[in-house]
Amino acid sequence: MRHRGAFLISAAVLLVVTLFLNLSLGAIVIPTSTILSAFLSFDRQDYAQNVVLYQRLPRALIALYVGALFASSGSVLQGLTRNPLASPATLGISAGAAAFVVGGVMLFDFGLEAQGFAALAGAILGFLASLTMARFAGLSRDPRGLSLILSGALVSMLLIGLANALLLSDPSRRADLLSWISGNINHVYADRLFSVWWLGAVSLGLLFALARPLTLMSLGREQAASAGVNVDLVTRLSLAAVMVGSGSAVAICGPIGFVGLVVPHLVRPFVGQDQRLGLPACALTGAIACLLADMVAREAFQPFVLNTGVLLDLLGGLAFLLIVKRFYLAGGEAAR
Amino acid sequence: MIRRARALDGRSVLRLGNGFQIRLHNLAAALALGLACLALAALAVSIGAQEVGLADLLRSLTGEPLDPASAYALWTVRLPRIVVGFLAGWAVALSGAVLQSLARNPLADPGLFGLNQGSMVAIMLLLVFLPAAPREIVPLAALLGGLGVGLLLIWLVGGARSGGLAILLMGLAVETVLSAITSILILYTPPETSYGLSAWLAGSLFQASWSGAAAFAPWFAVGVIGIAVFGRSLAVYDLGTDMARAIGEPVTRSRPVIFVFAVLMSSTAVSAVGPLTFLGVLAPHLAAFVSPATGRARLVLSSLMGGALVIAADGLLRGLPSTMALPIGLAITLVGVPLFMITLRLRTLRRLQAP
Amino acid sequence: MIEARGLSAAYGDTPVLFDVSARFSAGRLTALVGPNGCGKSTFLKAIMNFVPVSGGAVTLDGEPILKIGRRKLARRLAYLPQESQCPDYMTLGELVELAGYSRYSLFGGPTEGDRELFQKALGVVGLEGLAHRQVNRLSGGQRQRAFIAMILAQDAGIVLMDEPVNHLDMTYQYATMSLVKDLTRDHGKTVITVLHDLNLTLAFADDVVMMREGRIVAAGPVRETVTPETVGAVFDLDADIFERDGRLVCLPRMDARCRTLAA
Repeated sequence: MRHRGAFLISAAVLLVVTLFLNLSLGAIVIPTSTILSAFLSFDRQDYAQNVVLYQRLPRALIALYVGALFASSGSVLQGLTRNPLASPATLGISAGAAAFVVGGVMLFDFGLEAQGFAALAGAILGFLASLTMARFAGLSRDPRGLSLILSGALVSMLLIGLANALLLSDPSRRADLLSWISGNINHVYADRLFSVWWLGAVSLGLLFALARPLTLMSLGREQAASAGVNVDLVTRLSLAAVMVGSGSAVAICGPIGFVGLVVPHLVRPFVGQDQRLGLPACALTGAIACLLADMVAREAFQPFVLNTGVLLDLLGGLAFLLIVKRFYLAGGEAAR
Repeated sequence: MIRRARALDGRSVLRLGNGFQIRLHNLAAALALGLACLALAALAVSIGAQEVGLADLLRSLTGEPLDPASAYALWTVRLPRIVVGFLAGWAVALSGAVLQSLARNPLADPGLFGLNQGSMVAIMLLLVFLPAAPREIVPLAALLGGLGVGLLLIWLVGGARSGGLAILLMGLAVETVLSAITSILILYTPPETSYGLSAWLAGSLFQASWSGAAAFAPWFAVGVIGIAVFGRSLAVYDLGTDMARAIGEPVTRSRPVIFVFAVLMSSTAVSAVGPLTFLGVLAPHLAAFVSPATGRARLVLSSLMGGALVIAADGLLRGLPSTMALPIGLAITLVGVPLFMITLRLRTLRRLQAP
Repeated sequence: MIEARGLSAAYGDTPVLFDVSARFSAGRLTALVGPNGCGKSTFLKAIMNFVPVSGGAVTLDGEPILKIGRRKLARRLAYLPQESQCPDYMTLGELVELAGYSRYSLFGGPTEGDRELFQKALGVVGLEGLAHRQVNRLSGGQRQRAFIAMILAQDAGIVLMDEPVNHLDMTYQYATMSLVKDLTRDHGKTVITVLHDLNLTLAFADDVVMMREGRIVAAGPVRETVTPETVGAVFDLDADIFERDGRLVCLPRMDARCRTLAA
């Protein structure tokens, strides 16, 4: 138990370090002292302090918010479905939100506020569509929930296809949305963060409050029910929190959902199955992952700036590959 | 000597002296599909902004001159588009049908398995790092990329006796990684090629031309030979590797050859028009719905269905009364996903019905 | 006659067969028995050259099997896997026609003689009327008979079967095994089959090969070979072998050894 706590503390320390790194690295390197003074005694005339406060800090906050929400959502989804591939990106949540935002903007000229709601609606619909599809396809011999993931992938493909079709219909507005749809952490989206942050805070709070019953449920619904957990209520509440939380994250900077797939797998070996430790650990690690990815995406491909979402897709795809190999293929080998 | 006879299962067949037989139902379906392709092409010829149609085409074939705008629309835009569309659809569907027997997975598709993405990454790598390379080696790069992904997939899945769905998930994972790489690579392409690439990455017939069709022709011939040579073996592959070997198919020798053939077909289509995801799984299933078949007949019917689908989809897209320039690959995905789901559903139902 | 000499095989790094030697006499039904994972299925697959053989050899009438091409081998050796597969659209007739695959030329098909053989094969298993039916729509017992018809249609002298009665209920287990027995008695085939059930072995097999942990423990005619001692050595079980009306029955004892195994 002690080393699990230690993981949490070191993650928190690491988060602060990455945060500072993120604020200081960039086109100009800004020393820690300047960053501190930007916070403590802001000088309007100092260019570097302006960069920190109005460019890098919003960007870092977005990364933090998005990473924390996607990672904890992924952890909860993996526990609830007892499927190692579950995450907002693989269950249609990200794609649904993306398709709805694009649809809203292209067809109804949605403003920023309305886009947020469209993202939420899309997240919920995308997820429900994946669930319905999985039930519809309902493969009879599917002990490990493969059809759920397959349905999620197909629903995502369909929704992203729709979004792309809409984008192509109007080249002028395409440019605005194009970088958003591939997942872009950018300070221009700061307004969105300020308008939806409370949604994320509420859902994260709700998930943390449900950590104990969620842990029990990851062992199995029957066991949880016999231990006195109101399984249906906890499922509904936590799914609602996941959809609202990750939907709001997508609304800010587009689908960056693979953090939600990868981070829980990174964290689990250190903190175990207990969500009371696991959720905060996931949130911290997710935030670190997004901050790091943001930095790499900005710096590694000079002179180009890569969208963070693309980089995370690459890493997430690799992780997806390893997870399939480890959980679905190695298992098949052992079964022989 | 050809005569009509009954096969062992009581169905009418045409039988040659050496025992070669074709099921009449399959033959009729193939003829019908071929006619459908011609009819669709005839319809597609008259779709577009320029008022010119089949009648004009026939007139120009008899030597009567057309006004330059009509001639351009007909001969330089629409006809090559139809021909290249048919060839690409034909090749993708053939590749899908072959892969399904090879992987013994009814959901196999060169797009879902990531082979198309592999071809695209290879082409992009070529364009980024060897921009001076002759255009003729693009198909070769596509082939190598597709083969690379195929081998990677085989290595990843290994000898594990995993269900078809797990292989599909693995393919999707590979596809995700590769499309991220594509997105990174596109940053490095010169701006003038970048826009054309984006259209091609989504799968499109905008750039179809007679020279594209001519470049495709030898691969079409290879495809026909492949059907003739491998078609029969694939029926045996459907019985499982052990059974196939037991009844006389040298699987260890023939499988790599057939696999290269399947990748060749899909990568040729990719270099011609970009990825047509889902077509490879869609066409064989629809063909089987029209006329159940095995072996060569299945390949022929599937590929004809693929060609017909692309001509039809492209015609529909051009007929859409809007400014939407939807790439054909996207359109096939939009139609393909729901149909794919229905296929999964039907499979489940069939399995539930089976005792 | 088919013979294995010093056969060893491994799945990757895990050895499964150790120096196994056996001779299978022509015209007899030989059962391979042993606990799960003892290598009996692998033995069959090693004979068929489906798994890489790391040592030893299998000979068919003195000729090494590795030297015989798949096509030629298929005319002499048939094999029925444990889990038979068939695509959804394939009819029973098509399945049986595929059995002659090794005899057809690239653009050829079954000859008149082949077609007569196919009809006869369907008749032997009693499925003449169902040739138009899709194989995946047949009942479990019918399906197994369909594949036995396919084996007959392949017209090979030696038949290897991997648990042909797995997943069948008792009626069809006995019906199918009677059919397999007929293959040797009426059609002169040599049959080597993996069997799970010792009582089916006692009822139908002529010879038996008893295996454990990749090695042969005992082999020979059923009556002499299946004894309480060999059953104990192979299955870790005290069992009695009774004879009733000329038929042998094996019955495990519910004793201390049995209970400690369960615990």
